[in-house]
Amino acid sequence: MKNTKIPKLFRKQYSSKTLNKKILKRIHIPKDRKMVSDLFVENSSGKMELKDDLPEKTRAKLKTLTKSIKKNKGFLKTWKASVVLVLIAVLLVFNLFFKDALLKRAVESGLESVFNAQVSIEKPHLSLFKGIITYDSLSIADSDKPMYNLIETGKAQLEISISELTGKRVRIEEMLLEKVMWNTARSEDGSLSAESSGAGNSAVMEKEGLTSSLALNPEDIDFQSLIDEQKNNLSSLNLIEESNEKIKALETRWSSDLDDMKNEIDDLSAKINTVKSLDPTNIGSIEDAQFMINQVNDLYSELEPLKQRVSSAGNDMIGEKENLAALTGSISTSIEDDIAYLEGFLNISTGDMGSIASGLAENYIRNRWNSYYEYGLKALKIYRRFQDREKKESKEKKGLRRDSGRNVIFPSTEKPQFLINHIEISGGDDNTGNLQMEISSITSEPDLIKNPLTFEAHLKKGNSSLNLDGTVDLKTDSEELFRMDIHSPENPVHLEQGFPALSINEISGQADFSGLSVILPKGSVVTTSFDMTINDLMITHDKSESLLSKTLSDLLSSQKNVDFKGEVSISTEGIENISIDTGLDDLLTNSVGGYLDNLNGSMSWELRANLLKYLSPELDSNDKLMSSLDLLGAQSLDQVKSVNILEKILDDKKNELNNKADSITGELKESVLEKAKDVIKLPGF
Amino acid sequence: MITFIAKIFVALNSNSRPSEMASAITFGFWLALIPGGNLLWTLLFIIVFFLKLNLGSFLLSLALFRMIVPLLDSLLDLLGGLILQLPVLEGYFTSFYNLPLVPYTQFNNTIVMGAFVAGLILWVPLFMLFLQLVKLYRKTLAPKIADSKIVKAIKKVPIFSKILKTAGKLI
Repeated sequence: MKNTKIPKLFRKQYSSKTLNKKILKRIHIPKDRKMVSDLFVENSSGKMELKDDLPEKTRAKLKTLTKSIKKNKGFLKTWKASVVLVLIAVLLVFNLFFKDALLKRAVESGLESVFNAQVSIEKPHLSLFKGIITYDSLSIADSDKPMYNLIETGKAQLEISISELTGKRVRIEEMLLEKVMWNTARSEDGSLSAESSGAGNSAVMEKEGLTSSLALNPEDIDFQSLIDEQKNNLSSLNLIEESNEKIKALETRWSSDLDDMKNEIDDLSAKINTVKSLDPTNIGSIEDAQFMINQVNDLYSELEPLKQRVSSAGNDMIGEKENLAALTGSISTSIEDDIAYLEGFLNISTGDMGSIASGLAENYIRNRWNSYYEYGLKALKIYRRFQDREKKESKEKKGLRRDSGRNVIFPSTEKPQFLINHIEISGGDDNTGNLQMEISSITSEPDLIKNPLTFEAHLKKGNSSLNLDGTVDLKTDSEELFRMDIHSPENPVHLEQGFPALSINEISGQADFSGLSVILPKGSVVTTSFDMTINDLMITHDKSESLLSKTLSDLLSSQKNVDFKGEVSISTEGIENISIDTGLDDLLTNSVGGYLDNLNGSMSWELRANLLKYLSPELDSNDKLMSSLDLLGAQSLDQVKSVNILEKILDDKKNELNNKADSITGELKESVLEKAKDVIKLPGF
Repeated sequence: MITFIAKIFVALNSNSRPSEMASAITFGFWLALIPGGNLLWTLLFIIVFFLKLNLGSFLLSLALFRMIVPLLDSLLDLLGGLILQLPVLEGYFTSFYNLPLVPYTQFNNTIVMGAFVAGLILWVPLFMLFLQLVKLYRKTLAPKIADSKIVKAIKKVPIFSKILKTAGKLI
């Protein structure tokens, strides 16, 4: 038989106090505690010791209890430290071997969600202790043009302050980006999805293109095409169509009503003619006379409602015709409005045509700056997508069951949550131009740093260059939100299409541009005032003998340098306004003003003729319909007359019958009186 | 899952300290109150991990209390806001806020602060309550359950006896 050894813990002798402290207090099952307590007895020396000859079952129980008593010592489980150490070791190893792969995935997915296009980063490396992130190359595809990169960079290095990171602040001390290129071709499609992108402000540009081409090439204007393009915006056409529709509806309704009433008049007329044919002289008795009078009265009861309807229909028709006449009358006003509207497309006012030189400069500036503007818009689009992403993330957090609470902000050490101290960018190529750029102090909390964001950029392409130097001050008390000095010398100007209308075939020269861009506080429009000088102006023009050609030839050959002053306003909607002033305009206006005035008059006349021709089918239809309405009006008047005649006939017949009845009544009266006299002459009285 | 529940059941009926069970449930409640994803929660979890308590009860109470805690969010927000905006404590909080790593605890969030303080205040009363409940269970209910016919019958089913044996060994 198995004989379980009594654990050492229970073989010892204890004072009753120690027994309680070391054993009994560590047994937490009341039944077990009582059992153990009962097992101990006081010996001769006053100590508590275990009874002898314990049964096997009790010995086994004591063994189990010993284990749990030992377990119940202390409050910490130190062996768990080894689990934590193993976990830390695993994390470190994982970090050592996989952190760069994790970084690659995190950067790519993060940037892809912001740019909505494929992003690829090569050999990213993170040094946690030094706080340095490097990579060999990064390319971000253009979501609007998936076969092109929005931006591509070579080696880059970011120095992040670890001490700031411990304070939950991101501070990038230095950021170096080399070989930055933009708009480079990709070997594969860079789109994430089949999402198609809209063509931005193409509509605006199309309209601008139409306007300028029409204004400058009057001989080539296709007025019919212009009217066709704008037909939906022409109020006269709609008005005529509306008028014709109303006339047609009215004509159909009134034709039907007049036909019905005509039938009724004819029926009644037949009845009245029957009564009319009765000869009162043939009436022999008062009963016959009364019968005929009743017949006439019956016809009256039919005539009266008919008369009222005919008369009321005539009045209604007059009223509705008056309304239509008012509508038709407004057609001519509407045609004049449409002509004015279409003239706006031609832009043929003498004043505008007098701004030829400034128009030339405007075209040049639009072409020159639109690409920068498009890049600015892309940056804004990406920034907004980034903001939406942040909002979406915060919304997702709200979707959890717990509230997000509020963050109470305590005064920190006046350091912003995000700061890039300095960025150096270099890159570009011969096609895009070589770029050098430095940006300082990009932060999420501009009020917490002393200096505003400053930037300097230098782009060189061939002989021309563009130098930008500016500040962006987003502090709450900022007086000047944005300021940028622009200096761009030796820009080639070449307008191949020239101005055929003015016999100019080609214009070329070199433009020196300098300007200052600002945004006023709380404004959303960047205003750039600039000076531009076009040097070495070369103009090739027709050698024809026309007056215009000769005038221009003399004038332009005397101008080698042309100075322009102006202001460009750019908002998120595009270039809102360009105003340019140059002395050349006055010279041109004086020289070609008369020619332009004649041109203006002739184009306006042509436009009017073309519009009237375009509207003529509808206008003719309108005239015809109005004529048919006039006919219906005449019919209505005839019906009124007919009813009046019928009434007259009835009146006459009634009078005749009444007279006859009176006559018969008189004769009867006399006959009665005669008989009465005979009765009065009685013999013997 | 059955083993997990069996472990809790065995711990409840074994000679473990009632305080282990009570503190496990109380810590579960406290960590359920505090929103996760911050350093404070992680630190508390690590501390709990090192303490000698019944991990099963801790995880079970954490999961159960998590389901009802959102109902208390408005109260926690109120309490946290009240504490964080106490002028007397502003200086301490400011210097605390500027210590390294401390901002990651999100102690400046009203719900985090409210939950932390509420959990701290409620810790002792809840611990005492659960302690008494465990003691009461062991004194009155446990012997009755152990002697009941159903439990005796269940213990005879091989799979249950095996599970209870395994759970008993693990504890």
